[in-house]
Amino acid sequence: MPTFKVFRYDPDKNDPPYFQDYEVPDHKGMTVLEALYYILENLDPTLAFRSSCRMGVCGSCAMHIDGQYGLACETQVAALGNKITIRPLAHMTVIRDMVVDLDPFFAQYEAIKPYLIPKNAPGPREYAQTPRERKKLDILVDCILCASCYGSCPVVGTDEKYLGPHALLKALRFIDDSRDGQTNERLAFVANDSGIFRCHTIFNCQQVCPKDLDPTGAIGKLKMKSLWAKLTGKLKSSG
Amino acid sequence: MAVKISSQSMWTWMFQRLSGLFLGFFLVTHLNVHHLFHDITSAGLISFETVRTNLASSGFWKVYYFLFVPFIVFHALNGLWAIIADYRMPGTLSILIKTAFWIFAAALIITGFFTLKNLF
Ligand code: FES
Repeated sequence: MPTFKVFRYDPDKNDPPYFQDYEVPDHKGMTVLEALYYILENLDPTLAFRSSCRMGVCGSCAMHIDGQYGLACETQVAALGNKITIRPLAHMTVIRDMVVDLDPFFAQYEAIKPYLIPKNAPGPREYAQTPRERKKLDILVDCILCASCYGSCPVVGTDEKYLGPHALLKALRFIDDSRDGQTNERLAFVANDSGIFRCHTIFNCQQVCPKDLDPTGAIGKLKMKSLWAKLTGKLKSSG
Repeated sequence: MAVKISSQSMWTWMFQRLSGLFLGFFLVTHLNVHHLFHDITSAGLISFETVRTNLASSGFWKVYYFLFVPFIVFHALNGLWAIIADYRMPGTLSILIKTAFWIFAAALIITGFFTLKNLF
């Protein structure tokens, strides 16, 4: 029976954060999220965590599971040891137990304007895109905004203004979209002093992404694209 | 129309890579010229005089080593600054550290140039 060592923090009590042990009877195929539900329903109704879809789609159950960021609903208990440590995502204020304040995460996401800004005003027909143009986006559209990459990024931890791997990956998703008309504006934005050039290419984000996306690679591409845009005169210094 | 961009980071990022490439190339060439292909049996152990003779053999080395000094100073200090910049500091502290870096860089480059001048 594995023991879950779970991070606990309740701001309403004046106690500092602590870890609490729970013994959870496991079964074949049990996920960490199921174990947390077992604790909630049978051992401790005060435990707080987020979840919704339970199938790796909504991204709400991301946490730090035994030394690695990931989705609780997609992590098998059997793949972990007998003592499993659960902590909330890093770099964000803990609201309670595993629930963190995601406002800064989404503020940075919104800052990159995560929506299509077409070249021309909409016409009577949809914006056409060839299969090849669409294929370019395949490795960029699957992000479920779980914040695993954000929690694992040391630059996010020290520099609160840094845009973060999630926002930068999404920025490339729109820059690479043949229907978008704001490529240079977007490149100028991500190349600001809190953007792509703050990335130290540590690869944590790539390693923890539960969807096997590559934010590090996306940031690398953005660096080259913005540099090229600058060298070809599409971006100009504002002093 | 060109879009305005306010970022110094792009240039420092690019020069960090360029200077890195140069330094990698420099290291290989330097090892080749002074160490790997230096014939210890006939010319004896490497000495200040051997290095001097090697370097005096062509004007190319002069340019090469005079480039090496600013490149390595830039590469080292810019790398250090990139780490320090992770910790967002109040503007004044940041300016102070940057100024100290510039002074240190200038001192290192001047010392390096004087040393090279004696060598050639
Ligand atoms: S509960 Fe939706 S991703 Fe885990």
